[in-house]
Amino acid sequence: MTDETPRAGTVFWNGILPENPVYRSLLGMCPTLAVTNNLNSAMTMAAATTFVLVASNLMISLIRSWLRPHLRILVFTLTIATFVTIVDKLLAAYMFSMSQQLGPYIPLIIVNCLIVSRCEACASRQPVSTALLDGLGMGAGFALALASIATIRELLGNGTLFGLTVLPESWPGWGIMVLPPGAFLTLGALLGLTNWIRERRTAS
Amino acid sequence: MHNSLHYVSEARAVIFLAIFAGVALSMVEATLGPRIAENVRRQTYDRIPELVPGASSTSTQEISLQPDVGSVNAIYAACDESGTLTGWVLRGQEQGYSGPIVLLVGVDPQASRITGLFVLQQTETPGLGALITRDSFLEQFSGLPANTPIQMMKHATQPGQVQAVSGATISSVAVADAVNRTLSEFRNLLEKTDSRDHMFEQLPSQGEDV
Amino acid sequence: MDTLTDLFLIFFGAAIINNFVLHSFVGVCPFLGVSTRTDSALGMGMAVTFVMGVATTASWALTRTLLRPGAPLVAWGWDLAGFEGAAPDLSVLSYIIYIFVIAGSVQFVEMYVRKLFPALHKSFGIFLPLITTNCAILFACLLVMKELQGPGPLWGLHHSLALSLGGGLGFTLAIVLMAGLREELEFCDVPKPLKGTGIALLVAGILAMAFMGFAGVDQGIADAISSAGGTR
Repeated sequence: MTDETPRAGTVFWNGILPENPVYRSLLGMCPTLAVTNNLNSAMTMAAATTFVLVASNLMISLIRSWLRPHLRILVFTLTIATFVTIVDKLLAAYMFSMSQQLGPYIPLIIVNCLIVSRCEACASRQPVSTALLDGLGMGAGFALALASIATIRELLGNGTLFGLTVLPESWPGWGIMVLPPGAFLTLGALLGLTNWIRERRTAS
Repeated sequence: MHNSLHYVSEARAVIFLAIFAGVALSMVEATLGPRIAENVRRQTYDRIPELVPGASSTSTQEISLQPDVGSVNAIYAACDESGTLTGWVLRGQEQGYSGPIVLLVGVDPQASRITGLFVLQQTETPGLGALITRDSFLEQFSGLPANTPIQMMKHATQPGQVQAVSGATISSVAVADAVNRTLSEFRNLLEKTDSRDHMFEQLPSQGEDV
Repeated sequence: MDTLTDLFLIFFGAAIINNFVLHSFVGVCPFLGVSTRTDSALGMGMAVTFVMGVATTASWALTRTLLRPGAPLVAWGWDLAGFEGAAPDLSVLSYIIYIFVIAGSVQFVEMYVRKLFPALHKSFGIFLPLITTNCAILFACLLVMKELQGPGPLWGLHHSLALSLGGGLGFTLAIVLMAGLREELEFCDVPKPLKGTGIALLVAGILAMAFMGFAGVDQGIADAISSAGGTR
């Protein structure tokens, strides 16, 4: 990985498709599976993760000259844990029922490999502006991945999107989709689909 | 001397972050803490007017329990605006199909009739057991006597029986069990003089003696 | 009898009914990453169980004494220092403290296993550093925290041990089952896009469905125990 500063647009777009955190790097699985049974929780989780990602990237980039190799994981962890606590309290204060619904998955953002890996790969080496764009791009990619899974699960499972009924009454509602097995099956199927699309692209 | 200073400068990042964390988190706790506590409180108190008609959430207050009261987790004296006791709200818990079900039961001041029921927390199967939160299921409990056990039936034919959610017998029975157990324990508390006095002492003002 | 029933419910619940991987979705990364061979899967499972036990014990102790509203040590220190008013609520520091407790537990377990059980260290030692970012450990600590902060009776050490052992052993069960299945899959004709993680996820979905069949079993067994033994 070179240290030259990449172009802003490239940095932002990187996180959305080419290096999508969920579909390409298979990071952040736990929240991906847990909160995607409806779009409201999925988007709240994506927003919270993006907040932590951007804030941590900014902080690490600001203090990157102070980082020492043997202490850097400690530093990353401390930063991430602080911002996760902040976002957890913000949710409990302003979106209480959603915070109850998301439960322990918000603090689990701390161990979301995505954030630590971005701090390591990008924020600790790049200036603030690049780190910011990388955070936003990865966050957007994460949100896109969560949305794709949540749309399928909520639509097929409940016939709703964002809680609003979309499919006609006659739709039986595939209960399994909003239950744990549905999460694994949907992610597996979508992963297969994205791999297949990429194969076709590189072949042609 | 050089060595210890060296270590401090090595740990600059950690020290800075520790200070940052301390300051940021205490600020967060100071500003958001009260709001969060209020949210938690309102989760229960906002339900009081629905559960006991005529009660106001601001005049309701929690009664502290003697330890070891089994199924009854909390007791709230639901009072109307003038402070007169209009009913009681009890929080009870029972193990459902896939986890604990926590609910609030409203009863009249003599604990003779149920005035309302609300499910606070449940982790039942979405689309099946989770339907116990629906009004159409919970409304059946209003007006039922609080001194006889409620029977949960697949097909309710007689008064005093409640229609279970179809396909979710275990969850529905858990609700009935929670209600029955909570009510019978509460009625015991009301009947025993010392616990009764202990509860009534804590009321803001006393209407007529019940 | 009552405590034993409670402990059983907690253990069985964490291990089977609300299996950490197949129901609560924590520990999915190692579950998918280390489940290609049964012996490495068993090693990972054991390592996770050990660390979970140590980490939840430490965080239970810290939360019970320091990190909850009305914590005894905080109140005592506050009074000792002569400050007025209510002692502060330190629970806002919980997450930070837990993550360092977990990192410390991993170090601790690795040190002692290497010294006292070198054979064991050979079989699962390499997985230990990976466990620091394992969601499952933090999840177990968070469950204990919820019980220590919420209404209802406070959990004792035995409760939190039942939870962590149940969770760890349930994780081990899931990961070993998965490894066995994936070893069989190597001889199957998996479509190219699904090779590797894709098919593993689909198999995990079916495994999760199988585990759903256990719902309600703990309640039934608990009722049987209590009707055979003491009152409930």
